[in-house]
Parts: sequence; C-alpha cells; structure tokens
Amino acid sequence: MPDIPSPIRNITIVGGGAAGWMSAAVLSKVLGKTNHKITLIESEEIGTVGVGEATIPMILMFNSVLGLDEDEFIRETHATFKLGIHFVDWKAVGQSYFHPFGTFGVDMDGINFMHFWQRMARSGGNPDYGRYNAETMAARDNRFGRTPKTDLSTMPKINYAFQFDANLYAAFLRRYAEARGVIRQEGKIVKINQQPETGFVTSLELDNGKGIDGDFFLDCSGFRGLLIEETLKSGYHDWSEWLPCNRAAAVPTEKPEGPITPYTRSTAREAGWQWRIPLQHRTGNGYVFCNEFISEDEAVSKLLTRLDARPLKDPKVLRFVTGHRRKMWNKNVVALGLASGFLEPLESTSIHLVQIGLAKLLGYLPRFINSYVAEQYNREMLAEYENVKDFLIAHYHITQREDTPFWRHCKYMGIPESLRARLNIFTETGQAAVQQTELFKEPSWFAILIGQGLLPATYHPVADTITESELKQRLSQIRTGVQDRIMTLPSHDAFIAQHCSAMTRTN
Amino acid sequence: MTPQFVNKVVIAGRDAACWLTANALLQAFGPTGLAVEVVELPSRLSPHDVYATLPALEAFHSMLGLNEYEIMKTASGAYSLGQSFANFSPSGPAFFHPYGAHGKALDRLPFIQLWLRAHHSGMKVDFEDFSFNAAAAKLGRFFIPNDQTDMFARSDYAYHLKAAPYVQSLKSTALRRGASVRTSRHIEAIRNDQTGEIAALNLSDGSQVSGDLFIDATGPDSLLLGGAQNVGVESWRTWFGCNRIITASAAALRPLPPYSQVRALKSGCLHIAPLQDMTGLTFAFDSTLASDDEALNIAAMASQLRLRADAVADTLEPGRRSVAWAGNVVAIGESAANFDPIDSLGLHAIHQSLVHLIGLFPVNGSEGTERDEYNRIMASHFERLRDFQISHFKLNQKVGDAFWDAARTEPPPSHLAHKIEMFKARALMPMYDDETFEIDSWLSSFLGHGLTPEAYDPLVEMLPDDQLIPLFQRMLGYIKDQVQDMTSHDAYLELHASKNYA
Repeated sequence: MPDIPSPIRNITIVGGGAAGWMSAAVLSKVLGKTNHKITLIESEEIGTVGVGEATIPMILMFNSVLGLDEDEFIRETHATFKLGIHFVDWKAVGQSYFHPFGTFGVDMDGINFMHFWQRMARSGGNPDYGRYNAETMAARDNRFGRTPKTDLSTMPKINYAFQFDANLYAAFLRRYAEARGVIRQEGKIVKINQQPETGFVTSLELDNGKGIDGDFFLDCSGFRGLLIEETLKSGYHDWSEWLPCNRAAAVPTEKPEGPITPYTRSTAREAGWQWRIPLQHRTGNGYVFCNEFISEDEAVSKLLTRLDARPLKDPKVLRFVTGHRRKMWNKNVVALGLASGFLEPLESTSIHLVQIGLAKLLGYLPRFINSYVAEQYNREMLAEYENVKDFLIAHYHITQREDTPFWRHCKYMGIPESLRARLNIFTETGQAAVQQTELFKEPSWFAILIGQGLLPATYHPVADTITESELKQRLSQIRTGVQDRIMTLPSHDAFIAQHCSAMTRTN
Repeated sequence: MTPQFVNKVVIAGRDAACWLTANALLQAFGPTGLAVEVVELPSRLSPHDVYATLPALEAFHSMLGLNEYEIMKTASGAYSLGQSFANFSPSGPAFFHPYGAHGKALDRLPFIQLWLRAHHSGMKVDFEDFSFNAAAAKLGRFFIPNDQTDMFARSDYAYHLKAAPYVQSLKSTALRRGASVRTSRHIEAIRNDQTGEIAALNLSDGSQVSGDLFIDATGPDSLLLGGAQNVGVESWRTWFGCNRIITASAAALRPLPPYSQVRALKSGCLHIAPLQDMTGLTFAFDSTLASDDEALNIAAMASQLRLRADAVADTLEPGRRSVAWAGNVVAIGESAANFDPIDSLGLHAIHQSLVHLIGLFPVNGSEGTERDEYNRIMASHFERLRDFQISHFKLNQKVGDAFWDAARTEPPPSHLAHKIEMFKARALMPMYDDETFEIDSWLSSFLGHGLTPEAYDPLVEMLPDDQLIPLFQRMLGYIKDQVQDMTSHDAYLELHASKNYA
C-alpha cells in the first residue's frame, strides 16, 4: 500500500449503533471541530443489534475521557452497577463461581496473594477464596457503593462496571456527539466509491441521493462489514473450531421481584450459555448457542422456559461466526465493533473492544494515512482479540461437564498453543503468566481457571516462609478489611435510588 | 484406720452436666483408678439449644484437655466478649457488660474513681468506652487477650456453643477416657436403709448399677438429691418474675456479633446468642402476662428475626436445693441450682460445682467434713451468682410495666442491698467470698442500669483536670488503635475455628 499524502480531515462513520456513536463521541471530544469534520451515517430502517449490554471496568476510563457525569450516564441508559460475573453450572451442573472485578487479597512478600490462599486451603483451611475479594462479597449481599476518592483506608476498593441498555447508550452518546458538532446523516448507503488505483474509499452515496465524502472511514456497520468486507474484502479469520457458538437468541424480560443484582449471570446450558443482565427497568436475557448442537427453535423455546420474569418481546435470533477481520484497518477504513470481528459476550468484552480500538486509533492517529500505522494497529488489535479468545476458550474447555454432545466437544477439542502454554504454567506455578498489555490479569485467570476446576499442582515457595500463625494473622487481617468494606456499602437498590435512578431523569 | 476410698462414681443424668462431670472426674481421678459409670437418661436438648458460657470455661476446658478450636468447630461456636443489655430503661441506650476490666488504674486509684471524677465535671464518654471488649464487640472484632492488652486492662471471652454437638463431643471424650455408659429411660434409687445413702440405681432394662458416690445430673427434677434424698428447694421466685421459657432459633447473623444480647420486654427478657450457623433465642417470661404462642410472637417481633418453626416451651423455676450434697449424692447442674437465663450461668454453675467437688472429693462416700464445706461454698457461689442476676431486675427503670415495677420494688437479698448502698455512696464495691463476677462486672451492671454514685474517692480530687483529660484521651486512643488492628470475629473464626473448615 503506497503512502498517500492526503491529510485526514473528513472522518465518516458508517453505522450508528453503540460502536458508531462511541466513535463519534470520543472523536468529537478529542479532535474538536476546528480541523476535523465528523459525519455519522445511520439508517433508522436498519436498526441496531443492541441488547442489554454488560461492560468491564475499563469503561470508566472511556467515560472519563468523555468527561461524562457518571450518575447522569446511568440514569440515561437505565444502567445498573456490575461487580463481576456469576458463572453457574460451568464447572459442573450445580456448581458456580464468581469472576469479580478487582483483586483477591493483598499481594505480599513479592508474590501473589493466591499463593498464600493455596497454602491455607491445602492445609485444610476454608477454601472459599471469594471471601478475600470485596466485589465477590458485595455481590453475594447485593450491595454496592463507590469508594470515595478521599478514602485512604486500607480496606479494599470496589471496582465496578455497568450493565446498560445499548440502544439508550447509543442515543445518549448521539446527543453528546451532536452537541460537539458531529453531523448525523439519515439514510441507507447504496453505493461506495473507491479511488481506482488505490482502492481507498472516497465517498458514499445514500438512498436519498446525498453523497458523503470522506478521507477516513470508520466501519461500524455491524456483522456485514459494509466497507471493510463487502467493499475492501479484508477477509475473515474463523475461530469457530474453538468457539463454536454461532447464534444468540435474545429476549428482554420485565424487572423481576427482589433486588437488582449488581452482577451479570452466565449459566451454562446444553449447547452454550444463557446471559442475564439486569437493568434498572428490565432484564436482558439471551441464549448463546451452536446450531450444530441445538436448533434455533429449540434454543428459543428453552430460553423462554428459563426466564425469571415475563418476556417483553418475542425473542430475536442473531447469527454470527466467531473470529475477526484479517485486517481491521484496511486502506482508509477502520472497522470497529461487530464489523471488526465477533467474540461472544461471555466476558462482556464487546464495548471494550470498541473502546480499545478507538484508544489505539487516537493514540496512533496519523496526519496522513500510512501503512505502518495500519499494520501496527492491526497487530495490536489482533493481540487483543487473541487474548480474549484464549480466555473465552478456557471457560469452555476446562470443565467437568460431559453431559451433552456440546460439552463433550468443548472438553475434548484441541486448543490454541498459546492457551495450552498458559494452562501448563498455571498448573505448575499457580500463575497464569499474564503480560502487562493483556486485558485479563492474574486475578481473572485465577478466578476462571480455579472456578472451572483447574487446580494448580503447587504454589510459590515464598508462601511457605512465614509461620502458620503469621499466615493466619495476615489472612484474617485481609478478610477483616474486606468485611469492613462490605459493611460500609448500602444495598445496590438503595445506592441506585439515592444517586442515579432512571426514574429521576431530569428531561 | 485405713480410709475406705471411693472406688466408683455413678453419674445419673443427661446433657452437659452429665458429661462435663464424667470428663472432670476422669481427668482428675482417672489416674487413681476411680471408675466412672454413666447412666444416661434421654437428652432434653433441642437441636437449636445453645449453651452461653462465662469466661472461666476456657480454663476449665483446658483443664479437661479439650481443644478450644475443635470445640468451636464441632459446636458451631461463636466467641462472646460480653453482653449487650437493651431496653432496661425506656430512654437509656443499650449498655455493654464486657468480660473484662475498664481503663487503667492510676497508682492506687481505681479507674472507676477517675472516671467518676471526670463524669462529674462533664465528660460524656461512657464507662464502657474504656473497655477493650466493648470497643472490639461494637466493631465486630475478636481478639485473644495477650500481654499487651493485659497490661492495659484484663480481657476475657466466653463462648456460645450449640448444645447437642457440644454434649456429643464431651461424651465421646469421656468414653475415650474410660467412662462406661448405660442408657436408661428412667431410674429408681435403692437406698441403704441404715445409712440413708443410695446403694444402687435400678435401670429401665431391669439391671442395677451400684457405686460409692452418686452424681445427680438429672436436671431440675433432681431425681436423686431432691427425690431419693428428699432435699428441698429454696425458691428464688420472689426476685425472678419469669416462670416460663421458650427457646427458638433463626438464621445466622451476618456479620457474626462477638457478643450476646439481652433485651428487656414487657413480660420478660429475650436473649440472643449468635452461632456460626444459626442464632439461638431464649425468651424467659411471666406466663401470667403471655401465653406460649404470644410469647413466641413477642420474641419474633422483638428480635426482628424470622424464627424457625422449632420453638420449644418449658417451665422455669429459679432456685437452689438447700444443700447440693446429701449423703452420698452430689447434685451437679440444674439438679443443684436452677438459674434464670440472664447472664448465661448454666455451664458456669456446673463448672464451679465440679471444681469444688474435685477439691473436696470425699475420701469415702459418707465423709461429712468435705460435704459440709462443699455445701457451704456452693450455696455461697450460687447466691452470689443469683445476686448479680437480681441486679438487672432490681435496677431496671421500666416504670409503668407491672412485671418490671414488681422486680424493682422487691427488696434485694442483703449482700446485694449492701453493694448497692456502697456503690451509691461513692462507687465502692464490697466483694464477698465465692464471687464469680469481678468488680468491673458489678460496676458495669450498676452504672449501665443507671445507678449514679453521689460522690467519688476524695483522693481523686488531687488530680488536676489537665492531667486527667490527657490521660483519658491516651486511653481512648490506645483502645481505638488496638481495636482497629484486630481481626473481625468472622475472620478469626474462619481462619481458626470455622464449623466447615479448619
């Protein structure tokens, strides 16, 4: 790809779901109006995939870049707080574990806390490591509270993310972006013009006759990848040999009786898993499955029998293939969101992958489009996808379940070499050898691997250098800190009611 | 003359009194060849029954060679740093009776005198705020007293133990130590007509068990002492209005309070004892004021707990047998003295009886010297314990509630009356022989119930305010720092004595 000396001034975003409006919002905030013109094309006819969307704590960084008032953002998107994910029936039917945001205990003597926990558990101590994690304990009690910035105590802080309505989120960010000069064009794209020699996209034509020029295009058009795939033929790397789920049936339900849980629930099912994402006004539910193991009709009917409240709509089935575009940045097009690839929402990474794409894009944003930046972007984004992919595969592959063909398949399938190496090191050392740039850190790998039933053979020898009474003293101190923190937290419902109930929206 | 030694003790009875006795006698006299045979009567424990104890039990357990953590695990035990007394006056706040001392004495001036002086000059800090135990309990902390805490003030702790598994574990220990056991639905004593002593017991299977010394651990029925030996009861009903008792349970409290609660209600007293896996409730009440069903509702309302459907009602008849030892029968437990549940005296009374029985163990079964001394000491022990209990009823301020008005107007026993008079004058606390509760417990109860001394020790007047105030600030700061660093009750149990894990 030759370098083209064309300065980026007109940025055109194709598609107005969460990915499109996240892009519009952050670009308008960071780039301003002086040198850049940002246009977003969306068609009300096409609609968005948006369901109840769960996030991970990195979204707080995104919100802070935008300068959002968190309570307002929550009210506008009917959001709830999320402390982690409750995985039910994944290791074995009847067993569950919690993957919390935040860490377990306190690292000591230069090694991870979990080594000390292992020593204690192996000598017959209470194996419930969740007691050393504040988010887990708060989730068990349906409590939530933010840790004040002024809190200098030694109690663990509460890490959190949100569960929100993706359509409301898009609408909220649309207001934000439009207020900062983003121009929204309503219409369906009927023709895409490319420069004959380079293949760069030059302009788009809409069904209403309008033409939209651009120097740089963000493809947020969803699974189809209007620019990145249908126009530029970037290619798709299919990962379904490891992540075979290829359908999701989604249905919202009424707000159920009882407290709003400050966490997402993922329940393993015969041919995949079911999500439960509580929002303030309703609950998002869905069954992610593989159609080779269960038919769409059967999956939908099973989903409908496994809801804790009345459905608000008919279930909608989405189809996808897990994997990624071989080039997420191709020529003058960057794909974001579903256009760039698909990883099932098992660890709520969809919004994050949009966010990280935008962060990298802005981090490297060149004055002139060039292949070096594109290649670097693609390398880094692929690494992000690969990491998440391995993490997701671990959920399926490490299991005691063999009760259905789907689970037998997952348990006995081959896995990527990168994951195999990680599982080996974890088994030998109790550490997942997480590198700095990886999204999921040691506590996350620990929670999932142990939760799924992979116990390390041993722990770090340094954990044996203190006496047993010193060990117990330290662990009970840490445990006390967690308990003290929990006692400072109100119920999740009370916190929302006091700070950010959607019922108190100002408009 | 060669003394005719007691070779065989027969313990007839049930539950803690029975099995603590077996353990204590075997531990003390097993090496001398003493045989211990237990005639076990059907247990009267409900699955939810809780033994609340006093601090001295820790030493008793260790004397018996029982491991504290093992007992806590087996009996879903919780620690208790003291008791919270609520609602004994219509307006006053709850007060805390800590199992330990308050503050640090200055030279020879007791802390209470320092506190009173400051209190009289307007200091608002409560007496109990100078107690490690009270401060720790309020924060849900637990600690094992150490040299550092003891340098400041004495601290102790007690237990809440689920009765049935605790007894089960005492029983297996006793059997391991060589006790033999026979079960019987009922017993009948066969007396030696000449001596009036018991020669043997007839069991429900027709067999007979003979022995030199008989322990009556049959409970309030007092089948051997009261029945066979015809020893009468000195009733304490005049000071204790409650004649009925309901026990019930609820789910475990979270976090687990390291103390028990006593709440004064219109018709009696509600006791709440937390355990690792449940909460024990005991409501002692006056049956002329509430039926069993009403009492159960009252307990549920007052505790704000969802009670399980396992409540049991029984009669309550406080008092003691005029002697605890008659002929060759020694009564241990409720067969000797039956206490109101306030202040958690049940196991403690057993423990005291056993300590003294071991000390005065007869050379032969009919020896009178030891018996007389034992009876003197135990009567005194039981009455001093009873007096402490009466202080809660006597000093209540629930004016207008008939039950409590009666308790307040009833003249107290003379020892207690004297204590109250001395305290009112200037916080003096005369102490008698055989007291279980130490000075600080009495001070805590009297002050907590709103009794205010009219004056204080004139020696304290020599201390200038600018010396006293910083002294108090240092004490409070020290307690605060220490307590902050303590581990929570839950964390301590989880790491050391959790029911489910080591």
